[in-house]
Amino acid sequence: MEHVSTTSPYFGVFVLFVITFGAFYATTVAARWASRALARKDTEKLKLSIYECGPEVTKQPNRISTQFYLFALLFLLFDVEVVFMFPWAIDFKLLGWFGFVEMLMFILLLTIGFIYAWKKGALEWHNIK
Amino acid sequence: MFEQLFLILPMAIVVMGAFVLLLLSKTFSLDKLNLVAVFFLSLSFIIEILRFGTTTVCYSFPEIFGKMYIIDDFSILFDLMFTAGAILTLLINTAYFKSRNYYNGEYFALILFSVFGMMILAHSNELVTAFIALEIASLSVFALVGYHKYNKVSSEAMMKYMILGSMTGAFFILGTAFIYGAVGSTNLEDIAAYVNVPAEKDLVLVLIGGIFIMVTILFKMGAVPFHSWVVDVYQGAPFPVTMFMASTFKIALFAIALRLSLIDFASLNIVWSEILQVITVLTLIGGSFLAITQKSIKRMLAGSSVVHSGYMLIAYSSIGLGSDMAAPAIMFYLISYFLSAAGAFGILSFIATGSKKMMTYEDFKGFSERRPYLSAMMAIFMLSLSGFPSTIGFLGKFYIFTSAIESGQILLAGLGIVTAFISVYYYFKLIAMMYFYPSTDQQKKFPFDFSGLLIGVMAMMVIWGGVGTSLIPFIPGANGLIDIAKQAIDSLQNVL
Amino acid sequence: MMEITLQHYLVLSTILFAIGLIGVMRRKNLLLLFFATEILLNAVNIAFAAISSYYGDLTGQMFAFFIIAVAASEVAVGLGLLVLWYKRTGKIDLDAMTSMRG
Repeated sequence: MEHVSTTSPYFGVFVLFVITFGAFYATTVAARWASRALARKDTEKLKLSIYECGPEVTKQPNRISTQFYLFALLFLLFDVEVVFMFPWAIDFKLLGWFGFVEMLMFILLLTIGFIYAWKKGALEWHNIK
Repeated sequence: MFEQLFLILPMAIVVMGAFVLLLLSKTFSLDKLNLVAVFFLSLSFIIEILRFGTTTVCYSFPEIFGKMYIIDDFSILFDLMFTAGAILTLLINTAYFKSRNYYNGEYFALILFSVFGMMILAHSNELVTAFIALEIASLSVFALVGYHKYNKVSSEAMMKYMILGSMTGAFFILGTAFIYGAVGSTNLEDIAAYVNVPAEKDLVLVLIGGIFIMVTILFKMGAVPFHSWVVDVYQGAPFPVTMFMASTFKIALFAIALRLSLIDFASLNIVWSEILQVITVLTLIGGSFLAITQKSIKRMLAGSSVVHSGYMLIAYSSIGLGSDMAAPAIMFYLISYFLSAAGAFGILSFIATGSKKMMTYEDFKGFSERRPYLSAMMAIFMLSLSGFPSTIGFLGKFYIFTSAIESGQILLAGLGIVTAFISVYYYFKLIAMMYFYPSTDQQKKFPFDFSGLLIGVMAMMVIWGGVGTSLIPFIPGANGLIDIAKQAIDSLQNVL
Repeated sequence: MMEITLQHYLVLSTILFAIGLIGVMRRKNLLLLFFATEILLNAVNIAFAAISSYYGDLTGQMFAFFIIAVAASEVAVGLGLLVLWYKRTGKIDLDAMTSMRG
């Protein structure tokens, strides 16, 4: 291909991509190597123990329930979908009834997902099956 | 308005079925859910069959969506394969998911969501739509792979696949961003118009973008530099899901790959047919090694599915070198591979229903004494996969190698034939195990059931595709199939 | 004061993508792997938004929305499965995944 040339304005971007890739990779390798080489091979018991301001290390007393993660995931999913409603709201008059019906369908599909999560018991505390 | 809605009806039926299954998943029994899923899929299948060949190329809601969603014979043929693949997966495995306790109602909804994603992928005429469709299909498959959530192997396979899959998904969208930067549009026809007009334009960005997109597609196909996940994921996934991935999901990737290379990047094909040739050689050799070294049948079939991707990549790289035969050859090979692989995995999961141990070559010793009909069908599928004459797999390979020779890639065709001979080793090893070794287990009575009948029909189709035309006149055989494939490819090329 | 052009945005996006890629390749913690994939997708988002404003064409920004949605669903599925994996094994380390050697 004759018009594939290095004079393209975007060629620099590509070169930079390759170089940053190489450079970052080299840095991480170098950092690992350096930290391994420089670290003192000192396997004293006190040094390996976790620093906990004096008191003896115990298991984490207040373990966070995985329920929190599930709630967060559901929130994330339904929250992000709002992103599609902002452009629709701006062009509401232009899109007219078709856009309205379409957005209703979109919300309906989301609602089905919500009903599913509800029925599955994902919204109740300590009731995951 | 309603005509427009009718155009997207098959896809809408599938997604509505998925939602219905989701809502019913706690109230209905698995058998009923299975029937509901099959009902929605076959409704969609029937509409697509009626529509095939009758519609001209058209777009759904062009004034709102632009030309994002295209309907032509090409995409309808792929839709038929997806829905048929899902129906077969569900029907053959009716006994399997009752024998395992980890199945619940969401399984069917996930299969339907995945089929829905694949259908949009086949219809998408625009790169971002293709990306979203690919993600819908992939996310459902990720969840399906890890469906046996109390099994360590299954969850591990899923995590590996998920991480690698989402990383390569980002490559697809990066490639799209590059192309959007160069062309100013992500519509395939706009890109084709931009690429085809030779002017003083920079094609570097389009090329780099195209290569990134190809990386994603090749990864999901399991071509060799990106094959590390294939065997583990196929082993870790439950049998029905392995069957679904090997037969249906792989086809979906060729849908977008063919559309891209035939419309979008048609004039750039020459540039990357060299890259594709290298990948093809690697895939054929690496896949053969993967398949030879395995002891478990499931892992062997996973390795050999990489080799089959390699065969299709032979034809794929000859598209760029100006072979008219290549694209229909890929379509035909997809159909033949779909029949044989779905059959082979179907038999495996059918056997796995009864016993829970890992299926190795050793387990198949004397299988023909225990289950004569089933082992005969397994032998047919193995013969077809290895490309033995008088099966549909032979014709598929024949068309592929013809297209390679037509485009002057004689060495590549030769390598394909060599790997076909290598594949005889690992496929015939299974046949030998079944027929030439005495049985170690007690002989048991097995009841006749529907899944076995369905597998039998598929075995008949494999044979019919291979010899049908010469034996029974007036009934369309393999020639009919290749004509259908040609018709589909023609509908694709008429766009421009 | 230097003017910020399209090039700068693209360079930023490329650097972010490279960082994300390195993250996926070098990290062993599964949670950080998912962070890295998010960086990958958001790097592309920057590119889309920048190109879109360069052409004065709003579709690119619309695509960014879609990518946000895809990224969210990917992370939802991924983290959901990760919670499951953690419940089973008590680890979120890539090195713990050794039951299969392909």
